[in-house]
Amino acid sequence: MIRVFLGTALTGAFVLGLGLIALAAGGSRSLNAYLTLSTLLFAIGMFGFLARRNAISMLMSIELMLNAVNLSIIAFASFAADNNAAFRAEGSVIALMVMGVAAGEATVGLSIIMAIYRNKKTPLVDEYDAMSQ
Amino acid sequence: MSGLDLPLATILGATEAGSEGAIGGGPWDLLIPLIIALPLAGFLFTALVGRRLGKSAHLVPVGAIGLAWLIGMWVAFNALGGTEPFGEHGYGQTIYTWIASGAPDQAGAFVVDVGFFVDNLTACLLIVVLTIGLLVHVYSIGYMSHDPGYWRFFAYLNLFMVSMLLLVLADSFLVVFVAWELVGLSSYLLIGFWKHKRSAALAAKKAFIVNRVGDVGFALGIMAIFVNVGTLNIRHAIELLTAEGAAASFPIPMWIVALLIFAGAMGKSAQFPLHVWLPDAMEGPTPVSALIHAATMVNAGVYLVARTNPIFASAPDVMVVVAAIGIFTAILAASIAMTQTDIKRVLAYSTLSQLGYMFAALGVGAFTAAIFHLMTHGFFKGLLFLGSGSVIHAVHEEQDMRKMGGLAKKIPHTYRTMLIGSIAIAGIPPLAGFFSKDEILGEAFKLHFEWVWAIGIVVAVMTAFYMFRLIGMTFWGESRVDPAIEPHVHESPSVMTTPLWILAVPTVLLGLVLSLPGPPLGPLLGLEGPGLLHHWLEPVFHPGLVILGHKEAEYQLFGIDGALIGASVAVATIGMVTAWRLFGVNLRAINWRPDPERVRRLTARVPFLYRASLNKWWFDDLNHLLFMTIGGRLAAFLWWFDRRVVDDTVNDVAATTVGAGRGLGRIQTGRVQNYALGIAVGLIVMAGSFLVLAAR
Repeated sequence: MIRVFLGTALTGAFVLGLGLIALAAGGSRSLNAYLTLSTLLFAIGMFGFLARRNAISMLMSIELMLNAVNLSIIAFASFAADNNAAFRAEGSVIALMVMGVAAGEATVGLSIIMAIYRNKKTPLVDEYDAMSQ
Repeated sequence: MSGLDLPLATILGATEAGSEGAIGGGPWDLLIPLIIALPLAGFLFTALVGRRLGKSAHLVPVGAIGLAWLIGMWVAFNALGGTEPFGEHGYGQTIYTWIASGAPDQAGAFVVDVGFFVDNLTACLLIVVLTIGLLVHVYSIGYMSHDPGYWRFFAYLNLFMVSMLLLVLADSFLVVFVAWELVGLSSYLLIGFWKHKRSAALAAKKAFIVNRVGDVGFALGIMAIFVNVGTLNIRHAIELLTAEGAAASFPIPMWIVALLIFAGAMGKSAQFPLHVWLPDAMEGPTPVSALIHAATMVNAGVYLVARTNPIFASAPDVMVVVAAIGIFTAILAASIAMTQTDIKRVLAYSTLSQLGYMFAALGVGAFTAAIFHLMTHGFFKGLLFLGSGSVIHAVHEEQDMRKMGGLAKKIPHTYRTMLIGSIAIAGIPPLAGFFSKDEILGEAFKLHFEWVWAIGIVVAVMTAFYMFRLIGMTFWGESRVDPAIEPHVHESPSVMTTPLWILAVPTVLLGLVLSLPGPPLGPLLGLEGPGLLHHWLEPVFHPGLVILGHKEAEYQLFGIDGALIGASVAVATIGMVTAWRLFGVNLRAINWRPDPERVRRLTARVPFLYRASLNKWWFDDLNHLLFMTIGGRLAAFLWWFDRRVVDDTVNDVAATTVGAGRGLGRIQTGRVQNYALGIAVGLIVMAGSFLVLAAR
């Protein structure tokens, strides 16, 4: 438990550090900084999805990836609005839609996991091997 | 007209279907089908309930043949006498339309009527087939009395009679072909009658397969005729085929048609090179050998060629082939018959040889002589075969002549009748064989086939020789019968000897009766006109002879004809006396002892010929080499090719598909994270490629 906490905290600190470095490198308004942060978040989510065996953790990793994508959308929209103000609103709308879809996805995913858990008595996905038989 | 109500109408005597032109058939429309229907009923009855009848199983079949014989004789004599509706050219009736595809006169229509046709040629064949058939049936009552398959034998015999009668009566090539195959089937069944005997089963198979070779030719010939003229009715087809100037428009030339039909005739009549089945067919019971393999079925080929004589006459080259194959078979078989020791095999080769004579006669254009010989040969060879059966019966199923001898006293009826038969076949006047054989040889010479005559004369020497060798070894000299059997040698019952004596009558008289009032005896007695058989068959062979353009040569008893007769009688006597000298004779005045030492010296002088004759000129070995050894190798190679190349190609395609599926299936682990990894790797690859491409 402590190890998980420590790991998460360390990762968070690392990410924040990188974001600050990016900010420092790109000045106060740098698209690169947002994109770097988004990439890192996405990479963490992907890693979590591929590496964690617990189905709940995998679901959380998916949320992380979705939010990374959301972040990049908002960033692009904000920077694009410098030329055309309409983009600011559109980017926000798309981000909101992604959040809605993500909420739905999480609901469905969780209920599937609950159903499987009732059958298999385990949250570990590598024991969900019915499809290979 | 629908097919169903017609036979009934015809049998009830309705004239509409049966009439040829205006004349109705009257009672003949009922009588002619009855000739076939009676044995057919006998066959069906015996086949169905014969098993329960035990030793009285012969009553129905023999009775059926007896009735059929009566009707057949009535029909034959009316036909030969020219009574209406037969007239000169015969009478045909249509029973029903078997195959009706398209209107009869429309081009390309395929219409086959089943019908019967009786003319003088058919009548001659009816006399031979029914008379010998009846006598063989009666004889079999005695011969087969101890056989457990008694009822089966009579059922088969009746089936054979049905087929053979259908063959001579049918008026359509297709129906003749059906009958052709049916006689083949009954021959197969009867050769292999003792089916538990391996040699009999093999002989039956051999006969069937060799016959198939010829039948392919016949079937192709029938198709060729249909292609040429569009009808299968025998008379109609022949008329169209030989019509003036029609030959040029035929897609298939006449000589091919004739050759194909001759191929069928060669198979059934056992002509070289398809002769190998007949000697082996002697594995069947002896009455079968007499009926099927001497007197009737093997004549079917001669009958077919005679029936289609205008086709052959329009292909003169094929006629020469027929003559050559016939006379070659005659001398080949005669040379083999001289050394065989199995009594039935000697007779079998003799039959081959005599059939060769018939084909030689057909080939030179002496159609009447061929049918003449067919009839006389049917009677005397039937007699000889039945006689040999009686001998075999007497010495307890022994067929080797080396274990006979001196039987004349013990089985006098058999001895006397067989002696008559031998004199007849040897060609000593005034017995039947002399007239028919002499007519063949004389006609061959006069029609300028001198080579056929020359070989025929040599065959005549051999014939007389091997027949008296057979008589000498079997009936004369000292007994060589197994001492254990010797006291039990007995004459056959009268049910067997009576047919022998009845057959002896035509064997003596038939030649005389059929040749009078014509040559050779007619002019000597001051009579005029052609012989009886010539008179009968003239309308049948007239079309062929017209096409051939043969002129009736003046008959000169004190010229060329007399010389030819003298020559053939002389050579027959030479052959006979030579056989007496070597194998002994016990006639009243002449008593010579057999001289085995001289036989040995003579055979030692021509060792090659002797061995060739003894081994049947190695034809069985040649066939074995060609079809078993070489053909077997070829078949083995083809089998290997099929297994290794054809099958394996298919199998490998299947195996590759299965293997690939199994390999790819391993990717499908069912674990969601593996799939996710796949998606991730795919994404990275795509993004990476995009970056690389964009950077360029």
